[in-house]
Amino acid sequence: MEHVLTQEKTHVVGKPVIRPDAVEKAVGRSRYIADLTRPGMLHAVTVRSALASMSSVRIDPSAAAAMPGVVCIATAADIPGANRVPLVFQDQPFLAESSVRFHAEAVALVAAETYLDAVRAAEAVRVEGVAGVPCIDPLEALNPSAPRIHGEDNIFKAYDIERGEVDRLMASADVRIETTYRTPHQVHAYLETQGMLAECDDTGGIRVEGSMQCPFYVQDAVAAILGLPKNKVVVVQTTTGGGFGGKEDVPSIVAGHAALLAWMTRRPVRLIYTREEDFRAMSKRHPSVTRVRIASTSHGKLLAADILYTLNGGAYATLSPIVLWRGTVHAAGPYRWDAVRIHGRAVATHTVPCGAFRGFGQPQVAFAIESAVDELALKLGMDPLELRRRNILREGDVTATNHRIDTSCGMQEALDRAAEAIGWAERWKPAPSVIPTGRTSMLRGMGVSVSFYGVGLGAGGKHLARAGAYVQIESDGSVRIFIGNTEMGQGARSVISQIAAEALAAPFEMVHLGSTDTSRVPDSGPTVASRTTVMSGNAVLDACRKLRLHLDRTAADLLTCADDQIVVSPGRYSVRDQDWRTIPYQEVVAGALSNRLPLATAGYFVAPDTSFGESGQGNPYMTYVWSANAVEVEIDPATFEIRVLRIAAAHDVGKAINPREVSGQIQGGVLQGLGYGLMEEIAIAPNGVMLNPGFSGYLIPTPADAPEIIPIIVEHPFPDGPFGARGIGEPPLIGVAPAIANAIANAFGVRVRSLPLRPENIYAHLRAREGDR
Amino acid sequence: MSAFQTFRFRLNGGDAEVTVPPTMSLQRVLRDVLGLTGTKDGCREGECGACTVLLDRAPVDSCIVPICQVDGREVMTIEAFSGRESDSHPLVSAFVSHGAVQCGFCTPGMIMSAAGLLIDNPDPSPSEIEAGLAGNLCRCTGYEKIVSAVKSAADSLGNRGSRSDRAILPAMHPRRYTGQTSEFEGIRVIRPESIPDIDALVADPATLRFLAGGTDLMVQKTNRKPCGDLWVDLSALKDLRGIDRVNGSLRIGPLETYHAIATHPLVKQYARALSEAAAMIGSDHIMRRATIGGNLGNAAACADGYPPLTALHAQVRTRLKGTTRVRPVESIPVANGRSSLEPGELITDIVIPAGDTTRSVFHKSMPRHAQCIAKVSLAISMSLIDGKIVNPGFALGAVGPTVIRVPDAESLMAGRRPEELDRNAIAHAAVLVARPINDFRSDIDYRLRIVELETLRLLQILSD
Repeated sequence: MEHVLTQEKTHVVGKPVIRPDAVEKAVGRSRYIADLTRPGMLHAVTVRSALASMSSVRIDPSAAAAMPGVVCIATAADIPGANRVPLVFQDQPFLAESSVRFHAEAVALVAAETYLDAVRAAEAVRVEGVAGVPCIDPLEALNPSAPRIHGEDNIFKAYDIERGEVDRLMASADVRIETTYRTPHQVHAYLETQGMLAECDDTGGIRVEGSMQCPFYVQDAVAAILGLPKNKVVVVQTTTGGGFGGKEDVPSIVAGHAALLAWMTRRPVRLIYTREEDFRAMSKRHPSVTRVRIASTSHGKLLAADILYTLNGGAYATLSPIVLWRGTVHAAGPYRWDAVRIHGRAVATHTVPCGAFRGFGQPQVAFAIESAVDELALKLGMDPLELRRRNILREGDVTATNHRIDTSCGMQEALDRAAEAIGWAERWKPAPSVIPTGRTSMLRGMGVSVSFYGVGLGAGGKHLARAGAYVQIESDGSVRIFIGNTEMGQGARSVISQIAAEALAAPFEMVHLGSTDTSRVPDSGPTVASRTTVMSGNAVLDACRKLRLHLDRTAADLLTCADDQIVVSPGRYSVRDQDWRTIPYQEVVAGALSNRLPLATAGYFVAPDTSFGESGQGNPYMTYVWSANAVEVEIDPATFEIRVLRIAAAHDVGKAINPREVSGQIQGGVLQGLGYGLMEEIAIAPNGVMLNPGFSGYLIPTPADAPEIIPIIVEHPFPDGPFGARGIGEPPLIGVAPAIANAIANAFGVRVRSLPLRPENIYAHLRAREGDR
Repeated sequence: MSAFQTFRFRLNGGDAEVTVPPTMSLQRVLRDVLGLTGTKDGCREGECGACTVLLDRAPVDSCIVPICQVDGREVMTIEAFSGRESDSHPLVSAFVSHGAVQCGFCTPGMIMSAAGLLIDNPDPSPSEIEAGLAGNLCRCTGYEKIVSAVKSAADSLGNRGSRSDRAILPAMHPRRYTGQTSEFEGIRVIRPESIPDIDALVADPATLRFLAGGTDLMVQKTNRKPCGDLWVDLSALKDLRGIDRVNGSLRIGPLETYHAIATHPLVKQYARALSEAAAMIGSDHIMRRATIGGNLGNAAACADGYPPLTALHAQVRTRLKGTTRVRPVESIPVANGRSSLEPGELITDIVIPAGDTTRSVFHKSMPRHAQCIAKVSLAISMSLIDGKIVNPGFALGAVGPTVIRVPDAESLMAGRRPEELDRNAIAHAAVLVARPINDFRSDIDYRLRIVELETLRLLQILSD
């Protein structure tokens, strides 16, 4: 049945079909978790710590318990199962016990008859303890005198990659750059805040619905907090209003809380976060400090990279170890290096735990390495595009981890097409040698960046690198699919349906992907790492291949030909090269069912093997998305205000299953990257309290801030991907901020080494330079 | 006047009747009382636009509209676009066919804002669409497909030759909506019919709040900040409205919205700086609700109304228990968020000298291109007699706890010709009196630099 995978001509795959959920969402009929109620439902509110560091915590709920409408107040002592969120290290409690490690950490829960009853009671829960002095800076947390937050040294995890003779090459190189780059927290700012609804079912189990990316993580968490076997926990994803990584790990906490209250009260409980608590308590992108040393020959051949990469993990480890791992693996960029040394570490502080966010540790290192390569180009007097062209990875080259790129690689094409779209060859000029602060008219500049993105969990999450699916053809030919990954806005519903329609020759409109439900499909791992198209897509293909055996046999019987002579087109099964011998898809289905052939089956996919061995060497990912961003900016030389004029973003996605949705992923990811580059920043006071926990203080781009974004789809097929697809979710964000920083350096001659590139930071940078003279 | 009141309003072509706390937001009434969950809940402070509905055909953030101010009015929600025929309304089909829907959480609000925009402006340019939708955040799409969807819907509505409100809005399926809640908010609301009624009412002024547009008060309530236990809803007081020019003065009623002020020809002509400030105060949704009186009464350090009014030498007339007072606008704020208004003292008029030769300009330095709080704002005004400046005004905002008038700058301007001004000296005078702080929006050094640069630039504009 190989032709299902390799057919050259596709009918539904590769077409910009209308996504099946668009109308329902547009007119407000899609039901997000806050839109659902149940008879007798209680409203829950979380009681949070007012301090960032506290020991000997005591909670007195007595006054709150007596308030009108209050039904239940839960603390750690009420948890029947394990008070540990089941993630990498299992160090975070669902509810604080004797200590608190970050401001707004959950300490108790209230369930009440109305929302405001719950709010008022939560305010009345007394939380006391001994206040500690918070440590909010990761480099300070590494100081031996810092308060101990995790283990002996406050290091959650460290990784090393080493290949070749870094010190020797560094010492003998013609040109060297050594600089340090910093990036801030970034907030997902999904429009729908976190929320869950839990209710006991009539079989002694519990059912939890809500906004999430990873139902199987949530299932683990609910089973853990209640001490239930997993077959008594059903988790169903509701229509989800954006995730971007922010609904990977933390929904486990929200679901655990809702489930605990439902279990204690035996009533349905809905817990919906306010925007403020979502800001304060949910995961963020890790702030970073990255020291980069790179060296090259005077002709611009890259020789060696030596990178020290530090992440602020926040108060609990959550996903920091694997965020760190991905960042470490990609820290040297998509370049050929003779020698590489990378040391990455994730550090504990008294701040909100950081977790998954589109890019997962890569935007930080991309800002560092792509800025540094640009600084090197300037020092060499080379066009930064040309320096990249000479050094990017091509087929046959090896990465920092010695992964030989032996499958297709669209890096060169992505770079060339992004540069062409922005008019680089015609209009790029070297940066001014003197900073033109006296100028009164706007200055323009261009910048470029390249990046690569390992698809899937890779060697860092190998045990989860599989996915299941269930496909059932109904008697009318309509197709029902369940997968273990989720639609959170990115378009999985369209992509998966297209893959099934193509494989079964069913009309696209007849394919329906159901809500993701842990009782329908086996654990398929998380919906992260841009893995859904490859993982769930291949699992669905596996199921469809099995169904095609029956459909092709039936069609062959009906058309009196051999099974392997059957070819398909949308809605039709035909005899190869005899297209007058043809039969509609629905008749094939009817024939198969009347022959009592099974038209329902499970599919499964196990990802190609990956490795990460000694000195961080191996093939850490099954494949990479290859990406280039080219940017044109304008800067006011007096006020330093920046306007990004256009961004060309080229990505080798293998195959765009739905080009419109791929371009939507690119445009949306680019704008998040622009926000990261120009304006998004969380401010945390020395006492550990977030100062701008909402949309009036934390600014994300509005329609008026959006530049022209030119999505460029490059397609070098990935042999193991469904129809050659690799994935696209995360890559569009990664390279945007460094391309903007490079463009500003090009326009204005000022290199700013910290994000966001606010006018204030540029001014401070200029004053510091003057101070140096 | 109990904790619960009954309100009646038109909803999607039908009649609605709800018995709810009078301070409950329209958003919660729609979602939690009437079960109309197409209107989303994204921030509850008027920042994200996911809860946009049309109130008397203008887009508003329903999360900061108290239900007491909806009584007797007309509301349209996204549910009006949902139904067998309405699903194919040009706006809906354009969003769907352009790929403008990803997670979909912002989409109903976007469509309502787009409908409001097209009612006002049936043929908007892409930049007008961007400005019209600037109060609606989307985190998925990058906006391009949304803007092109709205453009395409405008074109197809135009091609049908049907650009009336009725054509832009979907066909209605009137039904009756009723609901009530046991949710207790604990704030009473009264709605006096005349200003003298207020004199009699001010019994315990300490816990009284005036409710004008509610864009600030509703957020305080939602965020559990102290916001009084008696709200005096001013919306019935016609005397607090109006924009007129009488005897060389512009009189603005404090209940006028920033949308009205930004678009009023008299304000454009005689108080340009105020007109410009009003247009930048926030999103279209906020401008439709926020009032100039509320902006002054809240006395935030960053309030955009103060610099232009101060530079224009505006006077504020107030009333407390029947006694009228008049004072310069800059004497109202005494600290960030604190005013010299006594409890129960009501702003009744804002009066701006409006001579034929008055020129004024305004600048707001913003951390993004729309809908945000100023890092620095400044306004300069002047009148001319025989080509010489009389009555100059110079004021700074967001660089001190209150608006700052700069008398030294004004002295340097008085009696000079605009083209002969010592601009550097004036900018220096402004920098000397500015008292900015470091916060997450900006820092002292940058704010001072902007004061200097923008002073020079505005003076250049005034001399041209």
